[in-house]
Amino acid sequence: MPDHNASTLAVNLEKLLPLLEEVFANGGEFSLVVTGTSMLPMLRDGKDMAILVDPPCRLNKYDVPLYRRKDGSFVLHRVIGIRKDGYVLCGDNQVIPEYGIGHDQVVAVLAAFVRDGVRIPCSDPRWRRYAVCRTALRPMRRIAGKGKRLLNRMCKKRGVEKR
Amino acid sequence: MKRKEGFLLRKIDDTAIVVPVGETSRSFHGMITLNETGVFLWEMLSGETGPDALAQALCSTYQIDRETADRDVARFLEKAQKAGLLEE
Repeated sequence: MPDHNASTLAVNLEKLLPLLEEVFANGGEFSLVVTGTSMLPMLRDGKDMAILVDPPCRLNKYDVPLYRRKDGSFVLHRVIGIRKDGYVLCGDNQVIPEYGIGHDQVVAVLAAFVRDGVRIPCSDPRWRRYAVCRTALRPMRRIAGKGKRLLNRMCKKRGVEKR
Repeated sequence: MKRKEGFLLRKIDDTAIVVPVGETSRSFHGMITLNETGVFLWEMLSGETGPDALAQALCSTYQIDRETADRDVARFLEKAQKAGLLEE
């Protein structure tokens, strides 16, 4: 399977949007190298490639949409809940969810990702299980994160150096 | 030789980008950027063309010597072949 991103071109996603729409209109998929760590451990910064497709008319829980925030930035996060005021989204490596994301903000949805040259569909049972567990364990990660920060503060106060 | 079907060439700012569409996008992941002469060669390859004709066209359009044109065409074709953009 070819991977043509040996050298990465940084193009503003905003400018790529018309191209993205054209590719979708032609029944295609759009590939982008993932940047950022919010979707770790599933999507690795600068290594894995996200395969995006035209979003369906309604997203389901555990889908991973590419959406545009009100400030104009583009984010690829997971749907962890659906409410009347919109989707609840959160990165797999994050603990604080984002509420009220409208469907009109969704630009594309992750269909698969390419890791080490292998295409892995999001429908893969192993990754489906991962999505369910990762979402279910989010509150615990939040508590663990708070505990870690508290411990760090206590250590700092007592002058204990981190090893 | 000829380039494969299933690619779109579009300009974003000053960058020429080639992206796969349709079925091609399921096997070709990523996008390709081309410089000015790359775009020229890419467009010529929409029809059946040989390296000689490509080099000749480069010479007359960009006023470069034949040796440079041959080298550039060979390099372009090698990269395009490697990326699976050309029909066998």
